[in-house]
Amino acid sequence: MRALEGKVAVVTGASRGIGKGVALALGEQGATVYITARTASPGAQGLPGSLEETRAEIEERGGRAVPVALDLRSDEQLAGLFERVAHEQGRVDILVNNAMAIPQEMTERKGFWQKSLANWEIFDTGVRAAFVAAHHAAKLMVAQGSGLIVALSGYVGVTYTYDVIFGTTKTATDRMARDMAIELKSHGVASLSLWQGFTYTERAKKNLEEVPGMAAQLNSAAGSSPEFPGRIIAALAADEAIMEKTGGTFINAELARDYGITDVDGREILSLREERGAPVWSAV
Amino acid sequence: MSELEGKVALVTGASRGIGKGIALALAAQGATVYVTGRTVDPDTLDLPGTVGETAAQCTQRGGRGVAVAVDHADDAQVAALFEQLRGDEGRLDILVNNAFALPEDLTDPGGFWEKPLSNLQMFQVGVRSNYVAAWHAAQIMVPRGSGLIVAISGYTGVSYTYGTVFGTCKSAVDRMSRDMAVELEPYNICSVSLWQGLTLTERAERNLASIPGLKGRAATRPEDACSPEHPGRVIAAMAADPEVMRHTGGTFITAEMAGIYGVTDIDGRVIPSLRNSRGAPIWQPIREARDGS
Repeated sequence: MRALEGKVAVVTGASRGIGKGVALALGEQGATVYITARTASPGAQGLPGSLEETRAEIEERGGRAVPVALDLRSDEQLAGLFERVAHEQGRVDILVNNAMAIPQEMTERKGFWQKSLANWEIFDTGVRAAFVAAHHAAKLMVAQGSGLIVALSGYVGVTYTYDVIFGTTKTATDRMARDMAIELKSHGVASLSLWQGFTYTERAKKNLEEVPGMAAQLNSAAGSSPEFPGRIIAALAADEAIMEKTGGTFINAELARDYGITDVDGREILSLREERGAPVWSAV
Repeated sequence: MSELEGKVALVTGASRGIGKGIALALAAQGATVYVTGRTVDPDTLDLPGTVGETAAQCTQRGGRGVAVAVDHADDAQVAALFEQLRGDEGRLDILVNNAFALPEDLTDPGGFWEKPLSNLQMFQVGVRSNYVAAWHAAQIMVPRGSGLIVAISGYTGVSYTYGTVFGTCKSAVDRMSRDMAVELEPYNICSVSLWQGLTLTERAERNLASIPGLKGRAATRPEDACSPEHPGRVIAAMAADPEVMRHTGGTFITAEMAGIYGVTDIDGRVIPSLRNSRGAPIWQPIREARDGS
């Protein structure tokens, strides 16, 4: 039997990038994966990927996926997503808060006062929407007495990387995961934050070619595939001792070593703790 | 003593509470102080204080108070405020980001999944509002090559207090101050975050009197509390310090910063640091972090 057979997962921002990789890895392990994004069909964005394509790939691997097109900035649409999951599945076991808006200006080298205030969408999607999703998911998880809420974060949580809002968002993400864990602990529900290093997403490959100095700053040589974090989340979701980790922020490369996980090509991913910083929060 | 004569300050959320205390303390040093808040009429809230009253008291204390009614959730109102400031003063030396949308049910028990999503207003006025005000302030400060931006935060930045959203806001504010400092350092503009402990504001006095058990909690022990003017005295000392850039990027416990400058509370009391019981700031000043000291 596959490790996540019978489990229900929600992965936000799954039309491409890390969200898609996570959805594929969870689907492959037998979970029913609700995948959300704004891009429902191919060709609707400047980058490749859509919910339809993610669903097709999950099904090719023998998994089950339910695409739900929505805009995370709408509280009503997020509420509707979890009403639907509750109605169709009666439970949710894994929430992966992955989605985050990445405006073009985010990686541009200029002061925050020279960038558009509209870039606050980074925080609104990365923190606010993640909170709203967790708020709804936790209602179901507390009732069932189990569950795992995962936030995708990164070394930017402690290391200045291009943009004030980006850093603020990831620091807030790590802290939010920890305080949620405190409130959820007595209900058997886990909440943690994962630091992904450089990931070979569609956008990252494009930026690597276009943003000067990016390859050096992000240490892309230590990069992983988008499925690597998904393999780790699958292992966390299947770990009976998960409550020992709740509240913590973890470097994916280090968790992978503990669980004996490699990337899709068998490569071991390096922790950049020495170069790019250590998480603030340990398990509660 | 008028150490801030000729300086212009903006204190957000200054109808009452910590914002009002800071405004008065800056005015007492001779500063022109723009005070913002939503409350213009005395009868719209069950707490006392309006922006007009604070501004009038600033003038009485030896500075010049300017009241501007601003809802910091409204970008257009904030933009208009800075237009006024730029037009009338042509400079801004001190921005104190104090405004915070404290919900009435903040101290109620219950998990984050049980509280209304209206609590997320704290992100809007408390985190985003800091960014928007600093964004406008930097446009004025950068060409002048000087300025001080202070965020009001607290031990909540590392210690679980009342709920998930409150802690997330204060962690975010501390980090934002630090990353702004990274970008503003070449322009000689200082950005710091200050951790207030319990402050005897109108709201705190009311809550301590009405909420059972509050006085016994570590976060709200009245004997550790300071007056609302204490943080203002600390900010005034920082604003008058020609070496203030040594602090930029750091998060500081206000009580410890008071120790650096020899500042006491209005009654001469030394306010205790709660570092050992409530936690230590995450962010060091960027110069110290860079030097590895």
